[in-house]
Amino acid sequence: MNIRVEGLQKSYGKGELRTSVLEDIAFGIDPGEFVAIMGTSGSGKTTLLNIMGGLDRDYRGHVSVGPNELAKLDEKQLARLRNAKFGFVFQQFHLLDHLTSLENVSIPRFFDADAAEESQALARARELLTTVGLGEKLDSYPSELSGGQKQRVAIARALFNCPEVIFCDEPTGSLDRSTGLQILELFQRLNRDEGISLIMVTHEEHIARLATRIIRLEDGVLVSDEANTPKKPAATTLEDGAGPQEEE
Amino acid sequence: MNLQKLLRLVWQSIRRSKRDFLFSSVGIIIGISTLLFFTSLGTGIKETVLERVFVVRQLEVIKKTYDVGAFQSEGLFGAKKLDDSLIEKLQKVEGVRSVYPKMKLTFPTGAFGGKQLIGKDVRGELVADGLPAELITEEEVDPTLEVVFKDYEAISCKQKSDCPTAYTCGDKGVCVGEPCEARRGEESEACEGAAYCHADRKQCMIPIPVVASPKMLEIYNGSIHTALSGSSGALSKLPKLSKKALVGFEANALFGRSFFLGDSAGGKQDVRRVRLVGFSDKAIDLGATFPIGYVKRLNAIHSGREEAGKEYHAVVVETESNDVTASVAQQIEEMGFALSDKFENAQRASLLILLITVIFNLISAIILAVAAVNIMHTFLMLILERRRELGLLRALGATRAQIRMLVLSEATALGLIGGSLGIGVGFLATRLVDSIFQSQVQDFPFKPETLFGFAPWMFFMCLGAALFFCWIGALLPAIRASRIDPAAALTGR
Repeated sequence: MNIRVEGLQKSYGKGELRTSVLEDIAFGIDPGEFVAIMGTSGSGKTTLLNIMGGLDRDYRGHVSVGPNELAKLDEKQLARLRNAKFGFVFQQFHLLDHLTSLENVSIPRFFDADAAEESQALARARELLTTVGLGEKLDSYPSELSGGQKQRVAIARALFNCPEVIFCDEPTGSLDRSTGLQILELFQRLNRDEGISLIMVTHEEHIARLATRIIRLEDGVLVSDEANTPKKPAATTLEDGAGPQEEE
Repeated sequence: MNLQKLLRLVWQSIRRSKRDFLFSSVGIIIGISTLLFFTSLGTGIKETVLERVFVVRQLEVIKKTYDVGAFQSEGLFGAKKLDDSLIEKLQKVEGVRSVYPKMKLTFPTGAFGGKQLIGKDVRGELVADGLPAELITEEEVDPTLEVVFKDYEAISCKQKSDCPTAYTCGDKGVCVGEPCEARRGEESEACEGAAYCHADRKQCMIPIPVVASPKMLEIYNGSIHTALSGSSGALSKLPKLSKKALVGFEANALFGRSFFLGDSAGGKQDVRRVRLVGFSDKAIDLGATFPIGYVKRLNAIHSGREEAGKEYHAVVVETESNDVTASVAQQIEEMGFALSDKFENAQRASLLILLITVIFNLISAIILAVAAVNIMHTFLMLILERRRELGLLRALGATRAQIRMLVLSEATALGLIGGSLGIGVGFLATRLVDSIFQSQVQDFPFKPETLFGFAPWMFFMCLGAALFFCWIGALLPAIRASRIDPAAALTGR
């Protein structure tokens, strides 16, 4: 699923208080790409990600995902697109504290009209949690998990409906360096093995270097868009079920 | 999102915010229990007052009179008569279920008896009226009794077998008592069954069957019995009486002579035995009620006027329901007749009860409204706390409508749980108050077995009110929740 951004502008406030966040942004992302959007704090990278992910509709310009011009979709169609085609991973994980890992992962099924039966949905969630190395933590609540484990649950949730694009906002921002790298290895593997497009916002150069393409923003302006040769992924595989061990 | 998924999400939310839900439901529980308590109390009191004390569905039609100084007059040309033609007219009025005439004894009558009940005979005045025998139901007079509520002296016959025991078919095709010989107060073996030998007439006669009003029993058990307990002599030992104990009680009626009013205009006198055969709400409030045939004949004989046996003193109109009573009453008044004070009293009582019920239900409504505000406040707080959660649900594919539905469903769950608990608490409160009332409050006339009256609609109304106020409380929070900007909520803006 390709993504096209043309003449994208976004601002907050009105009149003299108007602050421009994004100015005339234009680029395209092809299916299966791993793109890092880099920039300092306040450069507009998260805003750009939210607009592409259909979470923010207040902008000018054109943003299309596949055949869909996002601005032309009604609220229901956009919600369906987010549910069926997109996955989201956030810096703060955004897991629901009162739900177990299994329940957190299966949340998207509630909003999918074609979702399978509960038992099948839970089987899918179990499979995904095992894939990200949390087969032993199915019934654990977020408070019982480490930061890295929480982010793995969030990734499993993003994968629940087999998305074509995953939007990641500083996915390692709340993790220590080692755990962060393990999460990124997981992303690299998903991108390479599953062909899922990855769009990741980060302000850290060494993290951006893992992507195949880096888009740089400065004060809402796209200053560079260059291909990158990512580092080789670590030896750990997704299929070994273990995932990286870390402190809880 | 189908119902199963919605319920699952609602359950997850309730599980998450147990304390908040409990806090919100307290107001609903108090409001609903109060609503059920006062509604059932109003209904219970209404049933006692309007079905037993002032029977609002029964209108007593009387002649129209005018106040002239200290007296009442029927006007220059006399009042319209209460006769069979009026009964026919009244039966055609919309909303009328049944119409029956009442005729009072119009001459002095005394009574004596009571030895079988209190050990000695007492004398007094007898006030009596008559009504059609067919109006008395099997619940009021047991049809298997030896003497039932019917006119034994107007039974048509062709042969003796058509007549009751000790009666034979007379020359006029009507059953008459067999001849017998006995002195006053003595029994004769010639009269079988329930019949006794009338010493003056020298013929067997079945006692005149009478019914009494249950109100008399209520007044005796509730007031007179208490007053008599402090008197000297045999009366102080009188027990409380039940309907069953009184049925079969016999006394003597002295037609044409009263102990206080003297002799009747007709100059004739007759002593007849009367037997209580049952109790009926249709009976005269204080006195005895005969089958109307006896009263017609007695009036014609003892009043000295043939017409006295043809004119009724009142016509009772029973309406189909309390709701149509006022309209029927208006039509009767337009026909040129008046209604007895009973109707006015019933209307006043009805209005008073309605007013009290409305006031108490208003208090319940205020409690529920406060609960709704509390729910709104709690839900708004919850929405604020759950801003990120709701933003996440939007990001994961929830539409605005689904978020609204989720919040309103949580309110529905709150309403159903709070409402059910409120009904339970309210019902328990009624049982408790009833038990205190029965054990602590002394007997009084018409003391009801329960103060409360329940009907299935009350439970549905309470549940409906709980849901309504929960929805009202959750509406604004639901709208606010659906307007949460997912991007802003997730980035903490």
